[in-house]
Amino acid sequence: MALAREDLRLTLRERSSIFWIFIAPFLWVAFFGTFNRPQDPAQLKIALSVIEQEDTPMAERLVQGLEAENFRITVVKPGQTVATGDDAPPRTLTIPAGFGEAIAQRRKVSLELREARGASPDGTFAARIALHRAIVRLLGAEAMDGFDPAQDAVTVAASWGGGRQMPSGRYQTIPGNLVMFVLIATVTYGAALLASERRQGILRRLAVSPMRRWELIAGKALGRIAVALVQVGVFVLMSLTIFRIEWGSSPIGLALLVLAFVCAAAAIGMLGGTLFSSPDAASGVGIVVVLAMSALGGCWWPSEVMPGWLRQASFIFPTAWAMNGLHELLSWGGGVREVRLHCLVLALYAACAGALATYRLGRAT
Amino acid sequence: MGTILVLTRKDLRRRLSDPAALLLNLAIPLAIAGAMALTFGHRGGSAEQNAPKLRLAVVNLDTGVVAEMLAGATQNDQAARHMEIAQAATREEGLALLRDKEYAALLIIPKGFGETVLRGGRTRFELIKNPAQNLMPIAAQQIAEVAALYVSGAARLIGEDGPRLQRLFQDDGWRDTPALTSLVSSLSGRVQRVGALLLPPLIEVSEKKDEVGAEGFDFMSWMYPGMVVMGLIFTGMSQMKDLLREKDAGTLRRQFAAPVGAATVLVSKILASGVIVAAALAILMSIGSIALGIHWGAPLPLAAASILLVLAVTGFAALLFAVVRTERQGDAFGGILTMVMSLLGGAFVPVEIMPDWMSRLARVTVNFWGNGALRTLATGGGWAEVAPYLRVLAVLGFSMTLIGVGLLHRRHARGAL
Repeated sequence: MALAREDLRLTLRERSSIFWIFIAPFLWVAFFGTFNRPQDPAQLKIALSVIEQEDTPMAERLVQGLEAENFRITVVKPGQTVATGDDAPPRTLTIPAGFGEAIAQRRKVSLELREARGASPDGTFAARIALHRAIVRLLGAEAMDGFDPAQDAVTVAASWGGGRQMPSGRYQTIPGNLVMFVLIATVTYGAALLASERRQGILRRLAVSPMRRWELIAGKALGRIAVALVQVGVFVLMSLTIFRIEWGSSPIGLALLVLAFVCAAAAIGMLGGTLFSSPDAASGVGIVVVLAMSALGGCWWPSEVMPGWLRQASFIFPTAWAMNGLHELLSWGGGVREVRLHCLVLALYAACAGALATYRLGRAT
Repeated sequence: MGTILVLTRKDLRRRLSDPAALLLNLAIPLAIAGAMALTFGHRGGSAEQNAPKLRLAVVNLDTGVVAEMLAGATQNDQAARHMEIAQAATREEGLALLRDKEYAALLIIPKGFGETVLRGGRTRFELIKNPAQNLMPIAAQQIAEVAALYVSGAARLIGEDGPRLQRLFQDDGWRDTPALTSLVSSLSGRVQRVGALLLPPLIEVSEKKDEVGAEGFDFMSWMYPGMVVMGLIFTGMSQMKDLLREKDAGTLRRQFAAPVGAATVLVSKILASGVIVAAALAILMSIGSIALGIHWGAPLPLAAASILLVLAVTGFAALLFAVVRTERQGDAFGGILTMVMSLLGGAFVPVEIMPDWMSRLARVTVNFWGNGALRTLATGGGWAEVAPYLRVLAVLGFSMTLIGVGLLHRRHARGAL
């Protein structure tokens, strides 16, 4: 316990570690949470400039149809100039001259949808779907003497599974950053601290003290676990009070999962500390490994955007198990039963990495 | 000048004798870019072509022909290109697909769906979205709404003939030839009118992009330059840290004792850092070209952008290490500043979508101008497009280098270096 307390003290004494453990996660969550907000399609408004090259009832009907969809329309009538600059909508639809006549004569006509540089691909996807709906409505009304949405035979009743009203982007960014920053603190700082103590001969000195070897190793591991638990505590507190997300309905499931993950991270950190003799190399390689594991484990982006093979392959990393387990608790409202496999796999990581670290540390001391 | 070059060469030989630190600095942006390339792919196509497939689970609780046709439509080639659809027998089975197999949404076609539609009644699809996902469930909802629109259109087209059509599908309804003939004659006029307009739609949409390169948005050409600039700043700072390391080891004092002047020594140190930053840039760009297929544009604008970017990064590192007192302070502030500047400067998120105050703040970072210059070139821009970025990089580079040298010189004069 004395060793663990000392490790915790040494870590918290470093100003940069205070930043990386407590301040950076807050900044990251606030920053990425701002841009990672899924919206209900009904509320999503896509800015669109519509350039009317003819002023006919048919063009007008199309514009009305677009307005009924989820577009925020700026109409540019014939003779008016198109707005440019940063405030201009990123997508422009041109209704060509002769549009109404082409429809009346049942001839093909083409609308041009122009996408500005930097326009988001998901916004374009939504625009394309909404435009398609507006076109089908317009042509349907023309063919069937009216196609009023209020009289649609079929509608869609959409809801989110797990009973949540509308998951905010923070349900991705908070678990993702929790997993990543706990790893940064335990793996990189843990490995660097251990490598530094090995280099300075502190471990050898401790080894000749009356302390048993397992006590030495357990003390070092507990130090890392203590740092990580403090970090998790701050994270949970911050997310409850500032970002207002719910951590699911199973505090025991959450505690077990977090503890298993923290143990795995501490063991990996210790293993890293035994692999490198230089603290710089230990932390340098550690940060690269942590970043790669975080990105591929689904901490940076939702795993749904990954190709199927990568999604499967990512489960070789503890980060994927931790993220999947956290989603199970936070998004689906699961409990201990639903995360028991996650906890078991993470505990196995901890056991394997811990055993390897103990073996290497035993040889080094 | 000769002295500066001799000192720089000697410094470079010493620094490059242990290239591990340099390689580690480059490994961070490469690890991030590698993970992004694996996830978002660099398969030479547009973002749309590289978009992940929509994974949709369907539970058809209706045994009627309309629902069968609808469920069957999800199996065609067109749908298969963009969607991965799994049929589930029950709602619970469908929910298990969402939860365990990470499907984006579950579409439930309710019992009696076809009958209701054909009788002119109203019904609805139930769509349950995966709460552990962000983007794909929204796409699934949009697609379900299009399907609902098509069915509504078909229901309107069939109109009062719905019950007659339904009877045809029941038992041996098809054998009732008079009923069939009467239905066909009733529907044919309407189907022809609709067909002329909607099958396929008379209005087509042609899409154009204002990308400079015209090939469309290539995610890696946008993302990788941000990683390059971040890696360069890490490299610049780890190289400038050498100055304080030499100060602690006492070797800097010995060099100042030589009759070459403190400014010469300091400039040679900054120049050596700049050469290594330039080498890092060349390595990162080569990896970008070879592994990610990024084209860095015309040689002359690229050369100008590279020189000014190296100057700005080296100047920034010189300024930072002129301000911090110890190597540890440099490490701490350097890492923090690099990451904060990378976030603000648009390394991960386009500055265009940031709030106003944030995008204004972005413009004071080296990353913003460096990212902008490299991205402009990587997306096919030339002198005209890259010039505004180059001007600011030049101003930032020269001013920060001069201030950095000045501050370091003052520290030396005070005996603090």
